[in-house]
Amino acid sequence: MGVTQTESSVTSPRLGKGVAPAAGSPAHRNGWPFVVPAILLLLLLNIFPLVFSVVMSFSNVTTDNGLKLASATLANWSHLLHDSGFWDSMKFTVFLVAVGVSLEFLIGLSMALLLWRKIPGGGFFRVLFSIPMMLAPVAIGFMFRMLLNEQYGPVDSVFHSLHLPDVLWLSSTTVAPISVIIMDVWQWTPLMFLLLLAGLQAMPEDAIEAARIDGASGPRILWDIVLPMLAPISVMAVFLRMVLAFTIFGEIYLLTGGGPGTSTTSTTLLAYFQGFQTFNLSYGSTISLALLIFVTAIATLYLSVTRVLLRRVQT
Amino acid sequence: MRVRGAWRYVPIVFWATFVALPIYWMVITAFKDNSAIYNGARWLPWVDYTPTSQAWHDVLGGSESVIGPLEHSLIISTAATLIAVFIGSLAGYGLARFRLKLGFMRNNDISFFIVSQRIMPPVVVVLAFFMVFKYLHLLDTLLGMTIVYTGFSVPLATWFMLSYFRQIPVEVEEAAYIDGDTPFSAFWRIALPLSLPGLIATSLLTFSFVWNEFLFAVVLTSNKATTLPIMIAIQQGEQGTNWWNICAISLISIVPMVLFAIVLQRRLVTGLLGGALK
Repeated sequence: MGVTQTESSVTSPRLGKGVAPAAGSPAHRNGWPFVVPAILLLLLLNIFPLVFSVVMSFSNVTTDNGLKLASATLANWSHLLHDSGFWDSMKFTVFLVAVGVSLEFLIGLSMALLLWRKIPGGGFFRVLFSIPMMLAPVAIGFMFRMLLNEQYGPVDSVFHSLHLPDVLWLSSTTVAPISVIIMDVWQWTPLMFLLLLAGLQAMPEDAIEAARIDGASGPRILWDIVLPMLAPISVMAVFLRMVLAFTIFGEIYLLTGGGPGTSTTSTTLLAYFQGFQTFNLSYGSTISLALLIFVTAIATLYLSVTRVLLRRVQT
Repeated sequence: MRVRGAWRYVPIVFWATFVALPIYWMVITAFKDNSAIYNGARWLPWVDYTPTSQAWHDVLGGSESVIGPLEHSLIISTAATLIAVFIGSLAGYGLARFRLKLGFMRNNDISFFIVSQRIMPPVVVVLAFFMVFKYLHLLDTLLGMTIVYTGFSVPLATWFMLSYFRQIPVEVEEAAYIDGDTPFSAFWRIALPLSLPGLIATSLLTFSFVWNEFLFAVVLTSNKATTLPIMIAIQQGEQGTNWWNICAISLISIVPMVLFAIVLQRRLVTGLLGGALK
């Protein structure tokens, strides 16, 4: 179809990977003064607390005995392996990330494709569609708790007047996780939408134009040209969203508080409860580190799989 | 693709309704009182309930004043954003322009090290921060919160600024070197001004993450450094939930973001992605 020449203009997202600077005059000057502040800051504010967390997880710290670390122990980690509360929270978190992020991607992509070309009212919809991601997560949690309230919420009153059965949005262990997903989709589809729309707008027009002159149909152009060119930015957008979704906290904290029962307790919520409600800082740290290990594994897997897929799409 | 016809408005309007209804509900609830909430859903002000501005009086200086937390939020978010974007720009520039080597680590490895920090769930470090801050008496201080949020923001700021600097042609800076500029003055006088759209997008994104952050705030503040999200969260009390206050505070807290989004809509989107695309 005479379009391959433009595909090389879209490179894979560089999540920290990328080209080394060209051999120019700045390249062989000393660049360390630029990078050292960031590295020192991260060592102090991220790596040190991380190490501290690891130490806590092999010890027994409560808020009562302050900074005193008891002798090393594996108790927290061995407890974790048999703690069904932890595994349930991981199951819920993975469910939320898988279903939520997929829906956000599909809806965000559809809306970006629909609003890509200028249409009357497009600007209004773009602004409207980006508002939710600007609201504080706590505000969103409360808002959905109000909307889904089973006595005086608007959703319930609509269901009632349409003679639909009552749904226990927040008090049924099977429906509450779905309510969390609805909230997450409402909140984060905007980010997908904005990233994908920007990707579409940055796309070179000549490839699409050439295909159209060759007589390719709309769906063919979409499938053969637009979506492959959108693949790199999609990979990046899903990655960003996925990593953030694993740490969901404030929204759920105020929507359901992790309940009913523990049906909507995300792993971050569980770690928080352990640390600051049962004051078992060591076990809270252990849970959070397990989450970190899991997220790192998923992120690594995702990046290597998508790297292979991207290469296949682009050749 | 370029499908003509009005059918495309069907999914758009469907989604727009889903997005807009909660926002509409939030706006009208900010003007409700007890009776307009607990007696069933009320949809239209003046039609099925009488709007009141009581919540706004309470929130803007009355019994539930948010003025203090609003100041804390502004100070912490602005300070953390400025510091993080500055440090992130420095690091991004260094990684985009110079060849660095640290043992086996080259530029790519160093930038991956910095960016990968963002993979770390905040809950991993918050428990440690709590312990250390307690020891250093930094709990519930503006300084402590600024420090925490700066660390939290630097990885993303570095990533975004790195991709901007990669887009800027290096020739201008090379000319500056010949004129006797130092690396820092080339960065400060040339590269930074050239990447202004990127700086704006990065600052806005950083600001909004810090502005809305809840986990660090709920663990590390209690009184003297509480932020707006905390003010929202504590409206749920023993005597029931003050829905009207929650909505009023939420609306106050979204104002700066919406203003930015409308004014800088185009710039933010192109700015956000610049580097990842080209």
